[in-house]
Amino acid sequence: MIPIAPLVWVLIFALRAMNSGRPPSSRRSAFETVDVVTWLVFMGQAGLLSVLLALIGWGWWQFLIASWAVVVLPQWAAWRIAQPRRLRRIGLLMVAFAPRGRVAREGRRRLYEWSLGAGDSAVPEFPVTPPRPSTADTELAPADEWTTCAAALRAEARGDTALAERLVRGLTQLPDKLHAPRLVSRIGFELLAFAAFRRGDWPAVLQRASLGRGRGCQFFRLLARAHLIRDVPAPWLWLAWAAAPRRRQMRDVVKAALARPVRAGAPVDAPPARSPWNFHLRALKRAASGERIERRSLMHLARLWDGPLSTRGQAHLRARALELGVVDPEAAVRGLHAEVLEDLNALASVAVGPWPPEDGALAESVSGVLLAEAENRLYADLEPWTEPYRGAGETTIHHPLEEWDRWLTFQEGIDRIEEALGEEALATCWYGGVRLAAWNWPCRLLNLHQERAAWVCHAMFQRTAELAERVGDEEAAKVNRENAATAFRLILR
Amino acid sequence: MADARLSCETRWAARRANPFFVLELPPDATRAEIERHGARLLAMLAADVASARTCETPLGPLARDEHSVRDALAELRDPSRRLAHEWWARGLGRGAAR
Repeated sequence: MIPIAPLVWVLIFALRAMNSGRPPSSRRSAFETVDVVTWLVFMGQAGLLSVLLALIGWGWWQFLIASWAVVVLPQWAAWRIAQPRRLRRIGLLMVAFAPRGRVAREGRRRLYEWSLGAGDSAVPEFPVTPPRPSTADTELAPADEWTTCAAALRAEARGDTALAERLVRGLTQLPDKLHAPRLVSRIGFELLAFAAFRRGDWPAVLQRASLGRGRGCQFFRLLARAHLIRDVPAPWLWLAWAAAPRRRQMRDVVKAALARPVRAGAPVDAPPARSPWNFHLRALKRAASGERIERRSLMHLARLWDGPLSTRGQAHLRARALELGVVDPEAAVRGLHAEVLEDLNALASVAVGPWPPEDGALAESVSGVLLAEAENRLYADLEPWTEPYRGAGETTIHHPLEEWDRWLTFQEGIDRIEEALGEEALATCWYGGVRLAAWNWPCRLLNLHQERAAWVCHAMFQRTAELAERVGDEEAAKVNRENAATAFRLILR
Repeated sequence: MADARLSCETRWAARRANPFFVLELPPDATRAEIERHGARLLAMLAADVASARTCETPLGPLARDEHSVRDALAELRDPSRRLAHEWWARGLGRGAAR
């Protein structure tokens, strides 16, 4: 009797595993995304292996074993055996051996090679210091989920945590239509979560593992929750550990996570000191150790300083300066005022959250100056991105992946303005240059790089349309939605 | 972000190493008292007296050596720098006493 059901299952599984790596369109089935060459390679390899198994006397299930050995085994060995041991050549050979469509094959190769920190001639190194001339070299690799995830892994392998964080944040904000391919969501995000785990960055582990699927991501998600929130029952964590890779390495980590005492409640912040001097030093110390500093609390500190550095306070200081024999008491007091403001500005650059509403403080008071300087700095951070699009001059466009990284930095600036100053400020910066840059940037990138930039341009147009909608710019929203659809059609081509 | 954190750390370390804290003197100490106390501390450090190697500040204990003492003395000889250090030390001392 021929076991029809297992054979059909194996064929469907093989089909899914062999698809080209492009997002499925509503008009095309997974079957159509597997090209003829991939099919022929698969059938050839599986058939040959079946004959070999038949020769040594194995039963009817030889084709099942052969299919599994052809589709799954090389990938498993590449990612679970060769990659952790940094065996570059063997791993690449196994990645290349499995029959896959061109996009998936190239994507897997890059993901493997870049996870070991290697470079690639098809994608220039970034970020770069001197701007390079624009290029439309047909040999360049596309910017998509594969290369973005691979670039994040490469950044982790090279210790560039900021770049890796930025690229991962970009992956968390993708439009609904852009789904990560299977291997990226199972292996890519797991490796990213593992890299964050090695750094001890538990929030990043949780974020990255939540992006992915599969046993590895599931385990890291539970492990990070056990560390951060401590709401994971021990049997669940042990079960996830048993199913996940790296069991030997992770056993002690799981034990340690479960041994941590359950927190009684949220830690209560010490009440803010009434003395600005002590509050100031405490804030500097907290910022230096990477703790969260709220802009609201920073403004409270600045308002406390308004007392000792008021006109009266400065008069006392000038009198003391004269007693000490200071030649220019005015300059000495100004220097002291500037010193406090420099500290507050350093704190403002790491602070998060919104600034509190204005309380009518004088423009020259410490709190007034701090708020004005912080606002100016936030707007100035956007200038390098908006300035090139103000004039009619040429804009330098780099490789799509590099442009994606630059775009993410630009978006961080916009997010910071919205977070700190609210929606009104978003409209101000939108009409103050962001509209021009956010609209023209993906247009020029798509014109120059076409399909290679379609994935990033789709995300860029979508984001621009969302921003336009939020500030009530209907024309920009409509056109950018259409542009996003055009870019998406290019992805499917 | 990493640069900003480093800047905060440098600023915190500078405030903590206030010359009045290094010399363990009140902010209203006279010039002569400062010089006398500084000379005594330098002599103690040269003789490797253990108690001179650390000083108690309102922001916790701080290591002290010949360089930090000489730097503190030099800072307090400049009237405009002394004004600033005096202002910080007075404010922090008052806050700590509460």
